[in-house]
Amino acid sequence: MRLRDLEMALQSMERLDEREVSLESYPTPASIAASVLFAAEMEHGDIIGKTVLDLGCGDGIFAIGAALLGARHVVGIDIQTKGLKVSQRNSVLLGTEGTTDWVLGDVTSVEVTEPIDTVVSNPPFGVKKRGADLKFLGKAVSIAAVTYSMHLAIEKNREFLKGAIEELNGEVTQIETFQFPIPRIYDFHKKEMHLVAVDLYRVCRRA
Amino acid sequence: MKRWLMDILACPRSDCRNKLRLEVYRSHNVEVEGSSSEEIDEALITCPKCGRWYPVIDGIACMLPDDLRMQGRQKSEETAFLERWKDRVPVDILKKGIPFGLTSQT
Repeated sequence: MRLRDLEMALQSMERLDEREVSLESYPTPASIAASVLFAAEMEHGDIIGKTVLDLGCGDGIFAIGAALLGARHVVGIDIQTKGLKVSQRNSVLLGTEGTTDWVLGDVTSVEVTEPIDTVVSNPPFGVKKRGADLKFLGKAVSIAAVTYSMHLAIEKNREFLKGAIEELNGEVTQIETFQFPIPRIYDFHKKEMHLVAVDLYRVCRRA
Repeated sequence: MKRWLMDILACPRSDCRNKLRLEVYRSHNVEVEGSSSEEIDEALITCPKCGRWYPVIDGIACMLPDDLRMQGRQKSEETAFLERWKDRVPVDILKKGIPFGLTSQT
């Protein structure tokens, strides 16, 4: 599958209504989800034939993208049923039903029978609720060989996360910055739409 | 939900993490690119170690921690699941299931 095809497929997905989004989660734009997944496969072979977990899957964009690229099994986990229902519909729409599964669960209490190949996650950014994204990251690194996780690109945050990942026995192998167009979802947002710099971390667990 | 989910996820209790068991109550077949696969609609997941049960409702495995299952809409949906399948759910779960059964609520 070409990058353009993946992007177009993801753009056709039903998205969660932004105004209903809670827990400080921002839906990943289709173009960003597509390029993150495509690079994960092209540069590292982290998707095709792999078991992939999407922690805090929302409407399922990362999970379904991974399935379209050729992941063996994909599991999307979220604490909100609403997002999972949208994910189910998207999965039918894009023909990934056979390889995707949706679980209602608390990301911090996910346990696995054996280590997962790859985790992808766009966690709550933890602006108002500090540390929310670190909880997701901590869980990801503890259950997966490789983690792709998105976090606010603020210098202070970078320092903090690097230290935290070190403590989790993880190694940051790559950071790439994306511009997230974020609509005015919360009262504390001033403009209708603004760009927020978001870092994608690739973290490998140290053996 | 697919059967292979049980090969991936373990019991979500951090002090348990045991392999889970699955009993399918209703499923249907889906055709994707010419091959047929089983899609589970309703099922009971049980943990042989800590004794907890988790429902599969409308194709979604509900594996929340106890505190999030014991309240509000989730509690009523999971209770409705037990009610719906009470002819097939084991009696010990109906009577004194962990974290709750059918009789323990009132």
